[in-house]
Amino acid sequence: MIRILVFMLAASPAFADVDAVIDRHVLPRVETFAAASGRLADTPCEVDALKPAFVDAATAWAGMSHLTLGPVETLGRGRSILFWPDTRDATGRGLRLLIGQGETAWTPDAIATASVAARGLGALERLLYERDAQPCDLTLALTADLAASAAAIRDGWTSEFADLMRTAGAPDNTRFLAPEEVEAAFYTSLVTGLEFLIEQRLGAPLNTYDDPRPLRAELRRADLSAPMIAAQIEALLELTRQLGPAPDAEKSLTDALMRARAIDDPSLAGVADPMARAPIAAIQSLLGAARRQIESEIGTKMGITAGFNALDGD
Amino acid sequence: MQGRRSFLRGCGAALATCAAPTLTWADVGAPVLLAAARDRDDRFTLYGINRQLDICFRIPLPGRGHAAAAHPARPEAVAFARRPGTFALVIDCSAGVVRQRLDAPPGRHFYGHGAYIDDGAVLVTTENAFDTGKGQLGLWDTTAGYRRIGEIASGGIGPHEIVRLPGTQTLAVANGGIRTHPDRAREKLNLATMRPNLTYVNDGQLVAQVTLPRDLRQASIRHLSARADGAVAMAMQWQGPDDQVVPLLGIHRAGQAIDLRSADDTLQRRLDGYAGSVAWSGDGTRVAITSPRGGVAHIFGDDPAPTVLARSDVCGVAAFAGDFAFTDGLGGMLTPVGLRRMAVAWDNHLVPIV
Repeated sequence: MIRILVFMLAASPAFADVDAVIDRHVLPRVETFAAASGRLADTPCEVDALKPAFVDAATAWAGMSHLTLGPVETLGRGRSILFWPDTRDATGRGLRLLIGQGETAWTPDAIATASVAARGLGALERLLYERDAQPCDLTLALTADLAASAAAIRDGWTSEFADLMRTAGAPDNTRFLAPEEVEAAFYTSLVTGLEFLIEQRLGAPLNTYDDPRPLRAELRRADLSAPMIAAQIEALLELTRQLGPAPDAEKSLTDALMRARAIDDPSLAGVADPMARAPIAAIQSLLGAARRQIESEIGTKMGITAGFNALDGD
Repeated sequence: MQGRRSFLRGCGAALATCAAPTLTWADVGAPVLLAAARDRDDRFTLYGINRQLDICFRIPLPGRGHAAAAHPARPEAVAFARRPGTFALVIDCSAGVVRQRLDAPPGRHFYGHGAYIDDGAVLVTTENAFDTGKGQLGLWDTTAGYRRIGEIASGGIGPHEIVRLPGTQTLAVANGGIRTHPDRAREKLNLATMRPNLTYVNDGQLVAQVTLPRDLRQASIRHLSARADGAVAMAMQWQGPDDQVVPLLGIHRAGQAIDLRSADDTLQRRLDGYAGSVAWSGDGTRVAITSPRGGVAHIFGDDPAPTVLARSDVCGVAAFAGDFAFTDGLGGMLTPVGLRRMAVAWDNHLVPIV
């Protein structure tokens, strides 16, 4: 860390309750993911027992995947938990390579240094739903690796990052120079999470009306595409309520959540069918509305300038 | 009458300097950094900042720019429009006004960076001859109202940042390798065949050129920083497959191969294949790259592994005192003499005045 003496401009009053967001949104969700991943890692190599534990871990991840700030990025874990979207089938190739390498590669230590595309939920989905969890050693190494990542993320929050957020503006805190930077970070999580839902979780399979891409749906082999969407909408609604008030956005998200839960097509195969496509596309539209409402109901009040340089790209 | 004549004769040789008293950067508060920013009301301003982090001046800009170049002696800067911009503004930092507009010649656009040579007599700008895709360096005579006096080849495609090696008239040019055309916005037209390089130019001649190893030919060399001894640090932007994790910092010393620096894969991945700026520390012992996408800066010293500075939307970096100054889109300015936060979004680049 660079040596820094301190001088702070007076911070303006905070808009959201940062402690509440941490205590009632972030920490419960990182704990849920760590616990679900831990249970998956504790499950013996029986495919019928592994599948429900996998579903719990995957949906718990969807419920915190917008929290890329802090430990997820510091530890570089996001992509190794779920390498998706994966338009080049890097997961399939990486997994075939791992299987071909034999049992010396099927240990948690070896997995931790393997290609990220061959780790995490995407690789486990292939093993559980296409290979009957075989080879077992590889399956167990992958569940252990996932659980270790989830535990590291939880520990990173509880041992350091939550405090860094709570002490924004403290003399040695270069990460957060003022409380409003913490709010801005949560706002960025909310908006990038929504954009990921719109553009990837929904947008990848929907693509365009004339060129739907059902095979691009996330975790479709496990029938989790729609449940992942519902889990993330639920999480973003929770965060919106805590950063709000944002009545219009909350209404759009509530409506989107209801519709996502009502979808009777968990792998989103229906995107290729004009009739079945409409309710899926409707969720995407509602989320687009929520995105704009969040900007006007929360963003403008915060005076957000997030991504000024990140989005410039030059 | 006699007095007036001799005054006029005396001025004949150097009318420009007589027209106004010769000012220096010290006359405008001795700024050491130039930084552009967007205000809360979406207006753009160029700031001069001194060693105590006080604001020496703020000058309104007509829109968002990319980088600026600071004249080595006069309190004068050139601010470039964003790529593919066709104009640059000469800013008089003492009067606080835009004094002149430089227009790229027909068939050329600016890439957003420039450097002064010959004690500030000549400004050199990176340009795209967009119908051929050839990189050019435009030459402007600052003693004759920034008259365009010629151009030379940059030695590659897509020249981006250009810096003068301290104590010399040699320029280092980052030829990013990416061909673009203003009719197609920032669309990249040659990613499959791109071959970026670092080119050295002296007195109009290409004097040396180095390239990255073949497997990094899709790492676009964009930004540069030169150390007092001529070592050039270059920051790259990866255009290849996004599951590949590659070095984004190279250091070149004359006559040697490029020394690539990288964190381990886990940390490196966080840079998202994108380094936005690069700078040597003031004491020359370390070099920093910033990744606004990853919200992180990596600072490399003697250790193979970098020190990590986590800061959202961090992009600007420059030597400051013996260390660094960093700026970000949240209005933060992190320096060894203090942390500042202003209600602005600092733009991509922090320009040292040297």
